[in-house]
Amino acid sequence: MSEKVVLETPVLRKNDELAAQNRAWFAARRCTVLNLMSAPGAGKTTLLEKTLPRLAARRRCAVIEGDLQTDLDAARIRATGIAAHQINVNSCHLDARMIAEAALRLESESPDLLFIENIGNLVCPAAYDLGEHWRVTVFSAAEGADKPRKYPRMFHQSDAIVLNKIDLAPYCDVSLDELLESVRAVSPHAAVFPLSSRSGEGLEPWIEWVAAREVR
Amino acid sequence: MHETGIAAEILDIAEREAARRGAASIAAISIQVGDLSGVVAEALEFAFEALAAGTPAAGTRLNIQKIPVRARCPHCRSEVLPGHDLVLWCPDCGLPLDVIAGRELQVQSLELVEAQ
Repeated sequence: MSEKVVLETPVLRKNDELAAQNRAWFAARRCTVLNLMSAPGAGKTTLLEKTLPRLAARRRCAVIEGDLQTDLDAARIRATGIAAHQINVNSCHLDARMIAEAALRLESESPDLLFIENIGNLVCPAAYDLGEHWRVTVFSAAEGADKPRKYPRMFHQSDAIVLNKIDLAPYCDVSLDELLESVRAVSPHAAVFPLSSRSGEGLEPWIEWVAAREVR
Repeated sequence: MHETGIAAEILDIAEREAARRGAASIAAISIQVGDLSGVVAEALEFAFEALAAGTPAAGTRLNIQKIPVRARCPHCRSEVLPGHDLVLWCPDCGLPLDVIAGRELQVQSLELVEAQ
């Protein structure tokens, strides 16, 4: 005899519950959390290096870095004078449990703005809620205009899209209009920031957006 | 790429429920995978088989129901199937669409074999 049992249980329920706990933990400490996601090499760390010094007067920042190997990124962040904790995991994404542990390591810094630099990957990190308040996808002009439509979930659920490396667009046979149109198609509600971390062009609106983020 | 972790969660949810109900085994697990879930059904099937091999779940069927993306215009209320282009704007009103289906990633039901 067999019996059918209806469950309707979200597959990632355990992670979602932990993420909700993280969100409440951060909110109790008035710490606003941003989850930065992108493909490898889109420029998350360089964007942070350029962003953090310009926030220093207004916000107390800290960074959680996620990578498979090395603490190179955390070292780059610390060189800007900002506290950073490196997570090394053999995983294609960070999850809520890793963030709960990492957040404790940075608690003594009492950050009011915490950046999580996720593992470089346009697919998997999108599925895992970390307990962040804001999601940001960094997308570089060199990746090609088709990527938002090929990897829609991450773009679709982001509150902001940073279109980085716009200075490289002319060398990649892609126009800024094509890139923006592709982002807009799948992310109609997101704030979009075309910029170049390297040259500094377009950074100001992004800095202002980040500086105004609060717990929600 | 994260389908192995997803498959492990699915097995865990099913096995806990089977144990809770005192079932002898799990004949089938039915799951919903939305096109916006970021999970590739074929990779999930592969991961599930690999994980289940050599365990009591080795004979368990995984039924995957794919859910296409559906969206609705907040203004004219018309429903749109954005299709492969995934353009999430209303073709008539030019407004951003609200996604109403396609994000699903859940264990829908189990078929449990009752203990004798």
